[in-house]
Parts: sequence; C-alpha cells; structure tokens
Amino acid sequence: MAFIDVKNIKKHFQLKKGVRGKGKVLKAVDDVSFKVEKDSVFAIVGESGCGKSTLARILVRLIEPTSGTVSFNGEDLFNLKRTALKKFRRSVQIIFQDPYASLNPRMRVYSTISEPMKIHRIVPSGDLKERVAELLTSVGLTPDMMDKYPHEFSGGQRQRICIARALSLSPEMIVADEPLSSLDVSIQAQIINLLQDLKQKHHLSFIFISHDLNVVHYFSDMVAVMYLGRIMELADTDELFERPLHPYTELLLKSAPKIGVKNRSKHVSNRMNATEIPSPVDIPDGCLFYTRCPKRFDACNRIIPQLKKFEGHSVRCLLYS
Amino acid sequence: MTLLDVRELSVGFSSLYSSIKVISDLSIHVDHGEVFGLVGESGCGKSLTAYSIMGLLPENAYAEGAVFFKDKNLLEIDREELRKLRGKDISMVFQEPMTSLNPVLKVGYQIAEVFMAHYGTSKKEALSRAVELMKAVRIPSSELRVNEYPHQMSGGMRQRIMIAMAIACRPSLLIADEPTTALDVTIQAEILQLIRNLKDEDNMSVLFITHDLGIVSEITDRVGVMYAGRIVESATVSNILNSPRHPYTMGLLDSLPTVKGKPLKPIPGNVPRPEDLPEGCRFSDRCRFAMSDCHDVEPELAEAAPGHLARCIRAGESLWHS
Repeated sequence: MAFIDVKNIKKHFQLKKGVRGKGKVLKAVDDVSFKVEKDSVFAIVGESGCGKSTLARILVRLIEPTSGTVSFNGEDLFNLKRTALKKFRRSVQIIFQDPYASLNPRMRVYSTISEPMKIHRIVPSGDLKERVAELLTSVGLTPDMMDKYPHEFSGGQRQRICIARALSLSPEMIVADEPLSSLDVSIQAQIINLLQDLKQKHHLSFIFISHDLNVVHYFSDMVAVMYLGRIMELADTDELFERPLHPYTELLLKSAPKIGVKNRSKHVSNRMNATEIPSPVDIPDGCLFYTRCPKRFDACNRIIPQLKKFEGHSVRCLLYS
Repeated sequence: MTLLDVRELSVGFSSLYSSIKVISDLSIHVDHGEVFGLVGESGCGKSLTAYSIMGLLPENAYAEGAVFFKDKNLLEIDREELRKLRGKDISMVFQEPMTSLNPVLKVGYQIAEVFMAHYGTSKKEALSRAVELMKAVRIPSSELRVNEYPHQMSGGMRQRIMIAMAIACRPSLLIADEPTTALDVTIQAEILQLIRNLKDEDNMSVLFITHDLGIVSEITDRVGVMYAGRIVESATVSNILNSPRHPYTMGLLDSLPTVKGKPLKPIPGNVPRPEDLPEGCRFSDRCRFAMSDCHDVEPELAEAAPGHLARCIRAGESLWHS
C-alpha cells in the first residue's frame, strides 16, 4: 500500500460568465494520478500556472477536488470525519512559498509555534515553552527568539520558523510549496541542508514543489513534470534528469541555468516554436504541448496522448506509444 | 574602451536623525560591447547602484563620487541633460515587467512615446516604428498586439515590451536589473538570448544585475561581486567561477546544489544590515577562513592575480577547494 495514492484528481474552476455566452472552465488540475512512498521526496515541477500549487492545496485538503480521490495511509482523504480528519491534519503539514505572508505579524514566535500543539493537545501546557525551545533549536534558531515578532527576522529565519511550526506536531509528511524561491542563494542552501537533516532524523516524506530544477535534482527521489494541469512525465529523479523522454521535460532541463553552460539560451530558443504558454482556459485540442513542441508532427494536433509506461517512465507523448 | 566608469561611488540615506551608507566606494567600469555582471544577494546595493547611474535615487538619498559616461559625470550634470540621456543613450530594464509598464496605456503607445519624447516623431510614425521594434524583440503578430494593454500579455511578453522600449533609441548602455527573475526558466532563456543578440548587433554594452550565478556564467564577460555595499571581488567570468579569490564568492558557489547527496556548504548567518556592519572585513563574521586580523582592519580591493581584484587579506592563498 502506497503512503499516498492520488487517483484521477481534477480541479476545475468555473469562471464567471461574461457579457456574451457562458463562462469558461479553467482546468487547473486535470486527471492527475501518482503514488508517494514513505520516507521519500516526491517533487512536482513545472512553469507558473501549471497547477502545482493547486495540487499541493488539494493534498493537504485546503481545497476539495472536482473529482478523484486521494488516499492517505489507505484512508480516503476527502471522506475523513472529525477525529480522523484531525489526525490527518496532524500528520500532514504545509510550508508555503512566502515566509513574509505565512506568519501572523501580530503573534510572537512562541504563540505561532505553540498554537498547533495547543489545538491538538499533544503537549501538556507546562511543557510548551520547553518544546518550543527545542523546536527552535532543531531548525537552527535560538530559544531566546521565541519572544520576538516575525518582523524582527530575515527571510531565511522566517522560513525556519515556518518549518518549526510544521514540525511542532511531529508530522509524517510535509508539503513544501516553493519553500526556497523567496530566499537568497546562500540561505537556500541552509534551508535545503536543514530539510535534508530533518528528513533523516524524523523519517519525513516530502512533497516538494519547485521550479528550480537544480534543487529538485539534488533533493528529490521521484519527479512529476506538470504542464497546463496535467502530468507530462513521471519518473525516478536521476533517471528523468539523465534521460528525459518528453520534449517538454527536455526543454525544461535545457532551460535551467547551469554554471559552465554558455549557449543554453541559444539552444532553447532555436528549438522552441511559439513562445507563449497557452492560456489554461483555451488549451489546445490535441497534445497540450503541441503549440511549443519542437518534435511535433501532424497527429499531435488531433490525438490527446495518454500517460503511458515507457522504459520505466510514465510519459504523455505520442512519440512513445 | 571604457563607456561607463563608476568611481568611488558612495550612496546613503539621510534623515533628520541619522545617516546610513549603503554603498561604499564602489568602482566599476563597463567597456564598449561587453556585458558586465553585478552579482550579490538582496540588500547588497546592486539595484541602488543602477539607480544612481540612472539618476533615479529617491529624494532622501545622497550619492558621492563620480559616474562617468562618455566623459560626462552623471552625478553632476543637470536634470534636463540627464533626461535627454536617459532612455536614449542609457536605458534600463527593470525586474518586474508588471509594475514597470503603465496599465492604462496601450503597449504600442508606451514604446512610441520614447520616439516622440526624444526625437519629436509624429504619433503615426512612432507607432509604426513601435511595431517594428516589437518584431525585433520577437513578439508574434505584432501588428495586432501593438494595441493591447499590458494586462493582456504574459510576463515574458511584457518583459519583451520593456526591452523594446529600452532599445528603441539604440542606447550604448543597457542596464538590466534582474530582468529574468520573475520569469519561468524557458522564457528566461529566450530573454537572455534576445539581450545577447541585440548586444551583438549594435555593439551595445550591458550592465547586468543578477543574483543567479548560472545566468552570470551564461551571459556576462566580466563580473563584480557585491557584499554589504562593497565590491568584494571583480574579474573575468571564468576566473570568478573557476578560481574565486574571495571567500564570499566561494560560499555562493558552494551553496549551489551540484552532486546529489553531497551536503551543501551554505554561508552561515545572515547578511548584515548597513547600520550594523561588523568591525574589520564586512564578511569576517560569516567567513570560514577568517583570522584575527580580519576582525580589525577592512582589507582593500587589491590585485590577487593579474586582472583579478579581491578584497581579502588571504586572497593570495589558494583557499578555493581546500
């Protein structure tokens, strides 16, 4: 039994009706399925607007999907009631992208970190201070910082506070939605090392959402590449980075800036067709990537490719069927 | 030949009660046809350097030193003269294409405005030149999109509009302040390629500000690394990336994930605030090579190898990968 089993998840948003005609449907997440094993890091990559954050919010049940199921330890996530739901909330935590927006500016660090523990009553109130101090130390901050307010911290320190808050309930899994992208390079490295440590120490599983491919390569075990709400390719991280099958994955990998690579952009822009990502309300008829694909052929415009197994990858492309 | 010569530029903010210096004695130069990269983390003063060159500093800021552009000191010429230069000989592309375009004007008109302001071109003529520029920055169906508003365009397209405005008068210097940071990697690659093509065609010089060493490696010829308001190292791009002399540059390179499973070596601690700088070398409290002298005297920017400047008393030793 997989730790997390996502089956055919769809999230469609009905857009407001315009003056003429009926409103369009935005398919933010469309028919996404994958499994996450325990103690592993599952990464989701893709350009902005591909639905990765919507998916993250579904996985922690912040929003409900239009259809599909997510099972967590064998239980259907969207049928959990009261105590079972409360238990789920304890075992799964989320870290957001922007540590400036995800901490309450009027709460001291102590209140921020201790609140989840009070709600779930897992620590006797007499021991709360000690536990908060312990958590702060484990994320590389000092216990005396618990009396401060968020504005007194730098971005990296705030992200550490968010991590401490996520850890306060000893979760089994953390969903990290672009936890590094608002931080400076040197601070990013500190946070990656911290996540790596915590993962080993607490046997945490991660769903790691990022657009930084170098970080994903470094940190994750499995990768799903999303485009316009669908998974285009899914494979073991090393395998995917070594041998990308889908033309979109290939394009993403070639686009990532790397030290020592001089002509990346020449390469990328020469190969790409039209440059714009289609609007998610007006998606192409056949393959979603048709408009930008350097390897497209006639059939791509008509047939919608399915996600198929091919040499250990799952790939949604007519080249591999 | 030198096009832009910044000499001992200091920039600070003063209020009634206090005065804080955020850039100290910064000297850089950009030659004809080269891309000079200014690298550093947020708050190190790299954007402020660009603003001082463009004369766009806020009211409460002061700038000392000299910024020579084709033998004119930009810090001393009057506003009118600066306004004639700005957008014509020197232009700038900002980080956020969303906030730097006017939301209530059509993009074509915003480009056309540049011609009308600098050359007194008629509106009709200026608009047709705007379409040509939009073609030059590879915006598909330019004839139609010239009548669109910024909100109708994607981030990448908006940044192309910004670039079209910046190169409208064929400037000799383009200042690009993190022009690709807000964009997806695929779009980023295209914008960089666009800037490089424009540079090659017109022999334009570029001052490229970024925090991404991957981009530095890709597009720049020479690099200046900034830390806490100072240049700490400056050399050719290959020297900076392959044999850095300053521990801060080494720290930045070590922070990048390369080999899987190998723990990263981040720089400990945080960037100091300008009002709270450590004694001696500004990097000393985060430096793994610091010695007792480092905490007493701030080192000068000195030649560590031919053409390679570093502000570190141990720059002569081979510390990299030791």
